[in-house]
Parts: sequence; structure tokens; C-alpha cells
Amino acid sequence: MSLLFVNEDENDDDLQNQLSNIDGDRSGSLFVEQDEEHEPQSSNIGTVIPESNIISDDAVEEDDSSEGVSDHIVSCSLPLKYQQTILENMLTKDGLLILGRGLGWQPLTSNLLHALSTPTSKTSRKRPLIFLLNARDEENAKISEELNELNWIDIEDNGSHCPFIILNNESTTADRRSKLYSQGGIISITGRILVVDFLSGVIQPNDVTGLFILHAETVDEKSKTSFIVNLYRDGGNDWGFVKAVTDEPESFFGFSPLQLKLRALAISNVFLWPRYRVDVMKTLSFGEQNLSTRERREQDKRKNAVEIKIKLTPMMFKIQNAIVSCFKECLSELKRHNSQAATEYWDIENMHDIQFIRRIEATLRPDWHRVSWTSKKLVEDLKTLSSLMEGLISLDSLTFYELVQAIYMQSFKPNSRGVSMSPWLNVDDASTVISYAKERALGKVVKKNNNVIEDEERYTLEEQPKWDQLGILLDDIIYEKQYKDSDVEGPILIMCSQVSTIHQLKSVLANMKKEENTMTGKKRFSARKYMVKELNNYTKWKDITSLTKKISTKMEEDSNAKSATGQLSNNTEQDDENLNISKTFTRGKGHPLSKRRRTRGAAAVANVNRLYYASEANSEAVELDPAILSSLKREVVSDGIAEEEDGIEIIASDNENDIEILEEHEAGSGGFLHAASENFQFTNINLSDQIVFEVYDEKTNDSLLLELSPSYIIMYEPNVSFVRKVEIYQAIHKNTPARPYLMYYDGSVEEQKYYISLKREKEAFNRIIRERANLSKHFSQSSENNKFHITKKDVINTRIAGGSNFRTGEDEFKVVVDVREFNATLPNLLYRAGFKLVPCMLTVGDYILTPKICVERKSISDLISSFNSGRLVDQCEQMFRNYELPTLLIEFSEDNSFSLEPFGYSKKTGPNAKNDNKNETGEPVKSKQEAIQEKIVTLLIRFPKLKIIWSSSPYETAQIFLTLKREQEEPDVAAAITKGVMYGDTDNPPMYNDDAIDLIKNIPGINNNNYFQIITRIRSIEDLVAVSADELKELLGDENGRKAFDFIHRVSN
Amino acid sequence: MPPCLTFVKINHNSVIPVRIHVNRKRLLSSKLFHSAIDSSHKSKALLTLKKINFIRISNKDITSLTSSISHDILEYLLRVPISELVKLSSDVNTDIPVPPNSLCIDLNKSSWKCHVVVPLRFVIKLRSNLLIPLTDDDWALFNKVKSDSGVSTINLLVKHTTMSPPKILIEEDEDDAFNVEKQDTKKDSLSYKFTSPSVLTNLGRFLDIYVYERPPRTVLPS
Repeated sequence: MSLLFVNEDENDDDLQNQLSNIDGDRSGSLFVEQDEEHEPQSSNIGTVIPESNIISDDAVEEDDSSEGVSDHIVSCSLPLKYQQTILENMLTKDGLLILGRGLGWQPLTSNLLHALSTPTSKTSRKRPLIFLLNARDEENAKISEELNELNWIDIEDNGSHCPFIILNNESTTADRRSKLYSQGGIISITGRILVVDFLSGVIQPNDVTGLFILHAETVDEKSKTSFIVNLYRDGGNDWGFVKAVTDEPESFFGFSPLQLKLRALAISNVFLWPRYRVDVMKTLSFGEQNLSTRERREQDKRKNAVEIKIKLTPMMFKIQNAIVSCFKECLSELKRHNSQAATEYWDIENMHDIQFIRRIEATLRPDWHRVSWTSKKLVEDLKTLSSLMEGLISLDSLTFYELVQAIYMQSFKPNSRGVSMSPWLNVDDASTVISYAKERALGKVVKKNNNVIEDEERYTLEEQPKWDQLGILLDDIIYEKQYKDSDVEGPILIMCSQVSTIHQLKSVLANMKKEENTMTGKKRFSARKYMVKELNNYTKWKDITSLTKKISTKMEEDSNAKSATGQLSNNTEQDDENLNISKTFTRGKGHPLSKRRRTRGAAAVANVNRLYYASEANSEAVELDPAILSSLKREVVSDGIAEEEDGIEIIASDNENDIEILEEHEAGSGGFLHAASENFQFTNINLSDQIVFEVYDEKTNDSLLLELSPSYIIMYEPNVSFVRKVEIYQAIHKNTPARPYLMYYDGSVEEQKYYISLKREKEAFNRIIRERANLSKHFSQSSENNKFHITKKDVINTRIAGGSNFRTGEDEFKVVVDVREFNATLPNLLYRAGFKLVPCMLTVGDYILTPKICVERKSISDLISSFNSGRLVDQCEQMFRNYELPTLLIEFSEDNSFSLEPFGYSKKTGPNAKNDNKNETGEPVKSKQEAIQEKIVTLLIRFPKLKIIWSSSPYETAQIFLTLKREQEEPDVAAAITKGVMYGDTDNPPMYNDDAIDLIKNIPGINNNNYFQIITRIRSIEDLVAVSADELKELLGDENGRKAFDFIHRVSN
Repeated sequence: MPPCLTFVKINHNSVIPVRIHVNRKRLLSSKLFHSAIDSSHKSKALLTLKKINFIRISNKDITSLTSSISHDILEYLLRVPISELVKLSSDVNTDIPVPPNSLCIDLNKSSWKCHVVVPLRFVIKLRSNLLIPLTDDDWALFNKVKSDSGVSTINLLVKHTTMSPPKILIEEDEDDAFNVEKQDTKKDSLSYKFTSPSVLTNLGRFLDIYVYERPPRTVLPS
């Protein structure tokens, strides 16, 4: 096997031992002895007992009696040995399956679900009820299809098949859901709905056969999934199964990640299946034993990937190096600024890690309000640089130049405070990037022309080296198909990482021109035509950018003149936002070398100005030379004609407008210009004539290869997960393997990225294997599961007098929670803290703690949006109408700093981020932080009695709730539901006649606290006047009722 | 057993992706696939797993299928009024799970018999893309049904090959002699070009064809 493929086959004896130790280890545990009795002896797929498939105790008895009579045969569509082993393992035991990336968890899941959902006895009419959690839409669709296929095969064996139901929206009522649950089946459900149904008793945990959890990497103790598992086990169900699957071992990091995850899932077993496990390796590196040498060689040739290493052009290489060195500088500068936060991970070695920048940000986030402005800019720059790096190898030279130019103009624009500039532009190599990007695209070269006496100037318009190679490859494949393997009928599949690359390649291939050197027979494919087309786009882009620039400078000038007076107030803030770069970073350029020679700071100013003016020339995108442009166009056109005359090689698209039409379509607006009367057809395109393009996508690629069954696979860029999928495909189709090709740039970022993702996966697995080996054994009694309860007597100090109301100390702490709130973490934590949660559709408030206290919870982003929409004011008004102590809870997340400041900055990142603190019109914008503070104060002025609770995290909130409820009565659920609901208008928010309310509030005896009694009972002022004294007394109390009655009925003399 | 994904040309330069599922149980006798079961194994086992084999529909069959249903399916996809389609779809009795807001059409007139499952959105969008007049009711329906899970990114180039007899160059002077020799070594000269039809991927999910009956195989006389 060739290089990229081999790398992961590396056999680490130590780890393999560890892995097998773990498996051996299991025999020591309690469960296994039992299991081993039933462990199938047969080498092929054997007979297994899914212990979890038992529906209930009754069912078991029934099964025992009919033993040997009902032999349930369940089909399984997993052809590979290791997949079957995993299936057996997962069926016999509950556990968390950690699978190597790309090893196909999806088919495994559907087969598992299919086997689990088979009713175990014919006598029991009840179908198992299995919940599938965390499934995404596409996954639901795929799993449903696969289950359906399996059901088709098994349908006669079992009589009725298990339906697969997707419940992911509000539209179903509790009644309908209850009916669905009672019918059984596999139900893919969103966590929120299941939590609510468990809590409100729509379903009893004991009716659930099991939970199947996808994407276990996202589960932690705060997640809904973990909440569900808890509710399920606490509800007394200790016989059902909980099985979980993940294929992202990288996300297991931190302190004893495996143990935490297992605890969150209440699972004790782990199944580890890295790519380097012996069973997997054996399966994937297949080879028929009894073949002649020639046949074997032929087979090897077919199944192994051919790697096509391509050299970067010298200019690309220079740009790449320059970007890397900029990255390095920025990173070390960032480390210098944040030496406290920096970890070993902040190393240039890890720069190709996809998560790199995200992790750095995550480290800084808890202290974001203390991180300097420069650091923030640096983090932004790292993002810019990595996007440039990606662009370099995926975009064509012109588009790359456009990108560089756009970034440059964005981050290097003058404003009232001089020049604000991104730090990376200070690094020497930044100019290399810019100048070479320009040279690569629009540099002028003199072409020696034999026919014409004068030499002609032309643009370089460098083509991506991969294009040429792809052309040659396709050419070879087409010839091979034609002359050699006429029996191969599959299409050619080309995989790349981005949709934009697909469009680029389609266009390049359709416009490609073959140039064959008749002397040497060497082929070359020129994409000149494509590049000239791109040149047109460039001209358009240039026109637009120069126009916008003109407009924005004009606007800036205008507003500068206007706001010149209002500048002073903003000064303090500006100081914060000045770049503060160390000398090492700029190599002394930004700072005066000697303070004696110049006045303080003058050198810096001069330096920045010099840089700005010197690069003024650079800042404008290159103007195109019309002469060259027209000559290029002529050249392309004449080429086309020549080709057609020759009739030998036409690699041009039929219709010049094809690409444009395509784009029109994909914009969605589409519409053919052809007449509707056109003859439509429904004809299959011959499979072998298809060249299919698709992007790498973890979710859908699993089935793509099987559905398409291509005969040639070209991986335009390397991708770990897909390489493995190809391996699996090859192993399944041993006899007719596809021929895979893998293209990558030698010594490029792309290659590094591939290696690092392999390395990281391996490291992650190693970590998990080691942790698994050292994991302490966990034995539990069923009672241990039982939920932690808090009763009044646990919290209340009974020695305090006046607690007579609470003498029934066995009451549980109860909180009424709005069902919409179950998306948040707080209900989960409240549950764990021992509260009894009552989910209800609440019109007013989110949490009702006591009959008096009503809490509206807002996270910061919620708070901002509801301030903007004005919803918060309505909500507060509602609370004041119905409760005595309305409370606004402002909740932060424990990952972020407990400060409003980070929210004060614009969320925009990347090249489009704004550098200065001004809006388009140049007026100083109030920082968002100030705006929030201002709005909170306004809210308080309007509702002086509003209580505000600031909480740093949901954990703290739970604590606060506990304290608040300590001395209070329990809330009344029925009252909480009816509050705010007016006369049966359930759907719409209630409308109030505010003028009339203002009027009645002025009547003596009617005040803020009791006017609501009046408006709920009495429909109009006219009715109010007619009300008798007794009724008023009943409504408002004796004193107030008398006052009000007297006021209304007093006759003035 | 995965479906087979292929592309079908709908007019001169647009294609739609189509998936063909084969209901093996109904298509073939089931006993062929029991080979993997170890039925003699008597134990307390509640379940026995059995391996199934993949079968695939061949290129020739796909072509035969599409040409056989071509007329009917076009009628349904492009001409029958939407409201009528919805009515038709609700009458179809099938064991195929039809996703919500999708139509299921039974094509049983030709030698290949199949169910076609297609999202309602797909039909309406396809018609609008092909400039087939739609009524206001259709659009109302279109806006009512929820957008499907997303747009697929699959794309396609089509290769057209032509074989032409090799050029015989008449030797004019010695320079060309080399060329002639070289040309002669090839049997036919192959030329090809790529066309890039527009793949209507913005229609959401694919068109699914579930085959449940096929014409008997024509055995060629040996």
C-alpha cells in the first residue's frame, strides 16, 4: 500500500496488547461469566442473546416456556467480519461503542436497532419500545431506509414489523404520543419531548425497552441525553438497555473523559474499535488465498489506492511558507500576551489541527473580558491566515488573489485615528503573501512567439497543478475503460471537500484543452480557457469593490467632518483598542529604536504611515490591461475553432452557457429559457458515462459508495474518514473492487492536515485505551440509582419559630417549569439537585418556585434579543399582573466569563470583522455592553419592584432556587397554568384594555395588587358600576371593596 | 442492501438523481439467502442473526426500467394536476414507508412494476424549473409543506465518447512518417468530451423508485 494509506496500518504491539488485555479483562468481571455461557462458538455470525430485548418479566417467562419453539431469525446486512463482531458485542451487552472515524457506525446502528426491535416471542403481542436519541435529520432518513430494507426481508418471519417513527416537533399532542408509545416501535425523538413526557408521566420508564444514543461524544452530565438516562433509570427501570455509539474519539479529552462519559450515560462497558485493531485490519486488508500470482497482482493493483503526489508550483510554495511563518509569528505573539493561559498545545506543530483555533479561543473565553484587544485581533488573524492557507490550495490563482486583496483592504483601511491594521500585516512575510499572490495571478510574462516578430506580453494566470493531473488521470481512465475493462460499468466518482471545488472542477474539466507533444508523446492539459473566463469575473469583482470603496471613503469623509466635535468622549475607549505589539514581533519596526533621537512615539507614527503609503500601491487591485485581455480572449476563441476544425480532441462543453445556466439554477431562482413545450424524456444516463462529484460529508458518505458503486474513485483531497470508507467498500466488493486514486500536494498543508488528523485520532484512542485499562470496576445496587430527593426537613431549620405551615416535612421541593424551558440545562440540574419538576405549558414566566415567586430566565443572548424585540417588557408586565414577586434571572454560562463585556464586542470574525468602533456612518457606537446596561436600568425604572438575579452558571442558579424556596410554600400547579390565560383564548397572548385598567386603578380600594381580580371577572366598566357591594367585597376584600363601592356610588351634593 | 443511485436525463440539459430500490423479497424467492443460518444450533437463544447478500440492479436493467416506465412517470411527474396526484397517492396501498409530505405512485402498467416515492416539493419545484405552468393552489401547497432536510451537493459531468477510424495520413514528406506510424498502432482513435448538465439538486430529496416486479429475463440463445 502506498504512503498515506499505510500510515494508519502501523502496528503498535503495545496498544494491541492493551486492547486485547481489556477484552481479556472482561472475563474477570461479574457479567462475563454469565455471558460466556451463551457466547457463540461458531466462527460466523452466531446465535446471541440480546439480554436487553426482554420486554418485561412476564415476557421472559413466556419465552422460557416456549424455548426451542420460537427461533427468531433476524437478518443482518453487515458483510464484514469485524462489523459482525461489534454487532454481537453490542447485542449481548449494554455499552458505549467508540468506533474509529469512517468505520461505518450508521449501518451498524440500523442493524442493531433492527435486531433489538424484533419481538422475542410470538406469543407476546407487545412490540418493544426503543428510543433513538440525538439522531439528525439526514441520519434519521438513512436509518429509516436501512431498517425498511431489513424489514422487507424479515417481514414474513415475524408477521408484523417494527415501525420507525420520527418525533421531532411540537405538532403531536401528548395523547397522540401516548398512543404511539403504547404501540411500540423504534422512535427517533428529540430529547426535550422525551424529558417532558417522562416527567409528566405520558410514558412510564418501565414501558421503555431501551435507549439507543447516537453521537455519544456530545453527552455530558449537563446534556438532555444524560437527563433522560437518569429519568429512565431513576424511574425504576433497571432491566432495559442503554447503548451508545460515537465515532469521535478526539472529543474524549480532559480529565478522565471516559469515566465521566460513562457516568453520564450510566453505562459500564466500553467497546473500542480503532482502525488499528487487529480484527479491523484483517478484514480491511483482505486477500484471497487461492489465487495465482498474476491474479493476485491484478487484484492488488485494483484495490490499492494509487497516490498521486503533486508538487506545488514555486510561487505557491513561497506563499505557503510565508503564511506559515506569519502564523507562527502571530501565535508566539499571542503566547507572549497570554503567558498565563498558554498551554503546550499552543504550538505551531498543531496548526493543522482543525480544532486548533477553536481550542485556543475556548481557553481564552473564560477570561475574555481580561484578554487584551491585541490578543483578540491576533486570534482573528489566526483565523484569517488559516482561511488563506486553505484558499491557496483550493482556489484558482485569480480567486485567491481576490481573497488576499479583500482581506488586505478590509484590515488595512485608514480611519480617523490613522491606520488600523491587523497585526499579521506587520510581519515581513505578509508582503510576500500579497506580492506573490499578485504575481501568480496577474504577473506579466513575455511569451516568445515564433510566428509573430514582436514578443507578446501576457498574464501568468497560473493554473492549479492538480487540474493538469486530474485531466491526465481522467484521460487515462477513459482510455482504459474503452480498451481494457469493458465489463466495468460503474461511474467515476470524484470527491472533494467543498462545493465550490466541485463547481470549479466541473468548469475546468469541461473547458480543458489537451496539448500533446507529438515528439515525446507527453500529455498536458491546459485550463487556460477557464482562467480567462475567471478573468471576466475578476473584472466584475474589481469594478464593484472599487465602487464600494469610493462610496465608503466619501461617506467617511462626510461623517468625519460632522462628528469631529463629538470625538473627545470616545478617547478612553480608543486607548484600549490600540494595538500593543511587542518588539520581537515587529522586529523593532513599530517602535523607535532609540528614544533620544526622536520625540516619543513619532517614529511609530512615521513607521505606520510609511507602511501605509508604501503599500498604497498594493492596496488597489491590479487594473487589467485591455490589450492583453483581448489578446487572451482571441487566443481562447481561436483555440476553440482550431479544435473543432481538427475534430480530434474536443474537450469543450457543448454549450458555452452551460455553467451559467447551472449556477442560475442553484441559486434557486432558476428557470429554463427553453420553451415549455420541449420534449421531456426520462432516460437513464449510462453509468459508465457518469462522472459524479460529491463532497466529503460524514453523515451521508456512508451509503454513497454503496449506492453508486463506482468503478473509479478519485479523492481530489485526502480525507481520513473517506479513505476508510473506501477501504470498507473494497473489502465488501472483493471481487470487483473500485480503483481508488488519491491526489494531494507534496509537502503541503493538505498532507500535514491528513497526518495530524490520523495522529490525533490515534492519540485519542491510546488515551482511552489506557484509561479503560485503569478504570475502576463499578458495581451497583439497584437502589443506588434512586434519585436524590430533598424534602423540606432537609433544608429547613426547624428550630426557627413560625414554621407551622411546613410541618408536613415530607413534601418534596416542587418547581413548575415551562415545557419550552427543557432545552436549557437548568431543569436537568434542578432535577439532580433534588427538586421535583412539573412540566407545564406556562403562559407567564418560565419557573414558578412558590405561589408568589415567578422567574423569567434569560441567557445573555436571549436577553439581548428580547430587549430588542421588546418582548421582555411584555413578559414583565404579565408577571406583575399575576405574581407578587416577579423575578428576572440573568444566567451566564460557566464556559464564559461572568461579565457582560465579552458580549460587548461584535460577534463578527474573520476578514469581515470590523476593526474600529464605529458604524458605517462614522458615528461612535455605544458599546453593546453599555447598551445592555442602559436597557436593564430602563427596565428597572419601569418596574421598580422587579427582582433581578445574576447567576454565573446553571449550577449556581440551582443553588439560588434552593435558597429561595427554603421558607416558602409549594407552588400550585393548577393556578400556575391558568394564570395569564384569558377566557379560553389559549393561543394568542392576552390583549388588555390598558386605558380602562388605568382608569380603574385610580378608584380607591383598587390597586396594583388586586386590579387583576377585577379584570378577570368583570368585562367592562359598565359591568363594574353595576356590581353590588357584596360582590366587590368578595373580590377585593372587605375594606377595599367598601372603599371602591363607596367611591362608585357616592352622590355629590 | 443499498439502493442504486443513478442519474436520469429529463430534458436536453438537465438531469435528476434517482435511486432505485429493489424489493428483493418480492422479486426473488427468499430461500436463496438462507445459506448463512446455522439452524441446527439449539440453545436458549432468543435471536439468530442471518447474513444477507447484496444484490444490485445492472446498468442494462436500469436502462430497460427507465425506458419502460418513462411515459408513465413523465405523465405523473409533469402533467397530472398536483391535486389529483395527492388524491392518487393516498389511495396507494404499500408497505413502503412514505415520508410525510411525499407522494407515492404505483406504476403497474408496464413490464417493470414499481412504486415511485417523491416529495411533493420535488414535483412542484421540478415543474417550475421546467417552466410547466402551475396554479396558485400548487404554490400554496408548496409553501405549506415544510422544506426538506436539505440540498444535496452531488454533481455530474457526462462523458461522450465517439470512436472514429484512425486517420491515415498521406505521406507527404519525411517529417510525418513518424506520426503515421504512431497513429497506426491504435485501433480506433477515441475522442471524448464532457458536458455538464445541470443537476436539479435543489429539489431536496431524491426521487425513489421501489421495484417490486420485473419482466422475466430474456435468455439469449447460446
